[in-house]
Amino acid sequence: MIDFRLDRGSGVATYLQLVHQVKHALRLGVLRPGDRLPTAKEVVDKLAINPNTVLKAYRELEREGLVAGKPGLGTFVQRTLGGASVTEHARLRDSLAGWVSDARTAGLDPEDIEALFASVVLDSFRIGEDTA
Amino acid sequence: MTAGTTALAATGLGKKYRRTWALKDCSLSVPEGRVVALVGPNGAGKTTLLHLVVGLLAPDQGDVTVLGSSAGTTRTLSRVAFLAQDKPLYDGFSVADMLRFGARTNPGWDQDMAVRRLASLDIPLDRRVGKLSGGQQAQVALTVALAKRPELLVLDEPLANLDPLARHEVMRGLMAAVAESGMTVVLSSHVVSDLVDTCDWLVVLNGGRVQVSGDIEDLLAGHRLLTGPAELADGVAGRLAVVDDDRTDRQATLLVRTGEGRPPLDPRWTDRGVNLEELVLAYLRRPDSAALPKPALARA
Amino acid sequence: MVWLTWRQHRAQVLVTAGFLVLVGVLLLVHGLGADGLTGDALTARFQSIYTYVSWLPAVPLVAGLFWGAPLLARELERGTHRLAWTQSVTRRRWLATKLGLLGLAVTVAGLLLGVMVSAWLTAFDGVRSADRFSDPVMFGATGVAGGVWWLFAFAIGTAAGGLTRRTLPAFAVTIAVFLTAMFAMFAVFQVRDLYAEPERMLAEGPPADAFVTDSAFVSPAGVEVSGDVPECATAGRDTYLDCVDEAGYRSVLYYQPADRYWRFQWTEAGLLAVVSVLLAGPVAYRVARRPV
Repeated sequence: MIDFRLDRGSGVATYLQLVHQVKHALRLGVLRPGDRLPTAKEVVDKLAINPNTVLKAYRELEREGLVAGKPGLGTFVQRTLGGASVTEHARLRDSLAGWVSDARTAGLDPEDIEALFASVVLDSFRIGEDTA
Repeated sequence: MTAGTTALAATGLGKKYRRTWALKDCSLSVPEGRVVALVGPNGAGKTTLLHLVVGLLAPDQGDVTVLGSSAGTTRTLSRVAFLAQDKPLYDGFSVADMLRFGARTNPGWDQDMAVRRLASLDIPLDRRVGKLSGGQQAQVALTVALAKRPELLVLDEPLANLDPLARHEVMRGLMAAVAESGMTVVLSSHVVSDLVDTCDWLVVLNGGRVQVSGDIEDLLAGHRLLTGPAELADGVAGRLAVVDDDRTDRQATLLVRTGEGRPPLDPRWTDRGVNLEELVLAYLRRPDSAALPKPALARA
Repeated sequence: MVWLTWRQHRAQVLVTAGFLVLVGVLLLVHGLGADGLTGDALTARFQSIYTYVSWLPAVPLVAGLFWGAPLLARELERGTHRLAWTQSVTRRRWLATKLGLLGLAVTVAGLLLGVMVSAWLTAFDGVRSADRFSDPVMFGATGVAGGVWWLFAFAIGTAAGGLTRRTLPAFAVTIAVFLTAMFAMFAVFQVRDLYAEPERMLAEGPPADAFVTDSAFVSPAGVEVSGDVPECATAGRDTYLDCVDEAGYRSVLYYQPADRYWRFQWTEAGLLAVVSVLLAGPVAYRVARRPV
């Protein structure tokens, strides 16, 4: 079963951290279809967070079709995240590389670029949470 | 948990001690199933508000409705549990006596749950309450409150005077109980960092008045921190609701309420989202600012 | 609530019970030791303990200090009232149970002490001061008044605790009010003289056990003189009584017949009960109403 951890200083919304960790586990094959996710109470009992946050993360995963809740039984993994994302990764990496070289031509040094990147990531997750 | 019903509603609530109003014109409404953070500086009226909610005090003005009935009546007493500041317990009682106290004074008492909870915390039932550590006393007090099986649990500074581990343990126990029962929780604190990730509704009380009341996510999404040239600040202040305004001769930092979406801004501004602590501090620094509902819509 | 009351106050119950047993044993031993004694020996036996017995009027303070004063003060002092009053039991019921049970307990304790003192007194028949009616100490310690004096002290203690909200100040206020009440009742207003109009009787002496409240001389013309008899104003101390006799004066006694003991007891009990309610009532009302 997946073991959630929180990075409280990251600035990433807690429910998103849970969503990301499930996705990460799916990519790595730690979670497979049919596996049960821990109940809200189990997660809460470990992390001391609001149970609604866990439920929200699970709803998000459910909306993306990754898991399904079975009343009275728990929340189960439906499908895995694998191959597709590898190509996706490569595509994103390419476009990011293009942007970075753009930034360099504009005179930004590595620190500027990192700061800008971090601020965009932070904002994107804070504001457009539903597009994560 | 029924979405959309109100756990706690206050209208024009006021309470005065001798001539000074500890709480004035306090109106708020909290949906059921929420974990509410009541935040404010010392002396803001937090304890007074909580005592009005649990019926220890009667209002001098306005009224407060708890779970649909008046506060402090027989009907509400059995559905609301209260953990007072300093977690009072009878020092001379054994832990088992404290549970018996709860059982004898509450019809809905869940002895099994209380015993199980204390066993999991390794708190011996035969130990005298006065001999327990601060953290253990807090847990016993919380157990007595939880075993009452309340629909609304009110806690006044539950984490004060506890070491970091005990704070975590108390919060963990509280959140697990919420997950299990779906009860509404109202807890006060003046340490905002304790409330991040645990609370989903924020009430800021300042100088006896309610300054902010709303869903924490909505509040965070509805505020942004702008940094830009000082000469543009007045223009922004004219268009957006500025909560906190901090200017040097060159630069201005504005915490603004944007509502839904992102406002169009001059490119010379940088803007970012805010976190709970920044939001609370900004309001506390500016007692005239207020972010009040938007009728409180429950989001189950 | 009954269990809670017992659990919170069992120390007082046990200590008070122990105190009563101790006093009972002492009185029993002392009373048995008087068996067979008569006259001066019996009086001497009685006097040997009287110094201690004369403290009996202060004993009800036990109820005020250890039962009454902490009842509200300790809860308010430690903040446990916020625990007690937010359970499913209303504040009114909490207060009624505590006042009812503890008030009953102290009254019973006072009555028991009274029964023991009464029984002990029977061993000293005829000894001056060893009378439950004429001796003010014994009167207050026996019969129903004995119990109600405890209740009275308990009411003072409870009210003091509710007002001061601290145990130690409540102790001080309890002692002060209790002593002031005694002083007012007996030194200033002499209330017991007002419970009934005394009987008047000429000469010889009142019936045994009667409570003599006053005496005077009556002139041959039937006029009662208060103070000195005018004809004997110049008589010396030794010859004064002879002079009064020669002048034809007779002495007159005012007394309360022995069978008025219970009437007096109930009068005093009623009086104290009313004062208790007047003292503790407003405090209880304030607590039972919501704001505290």
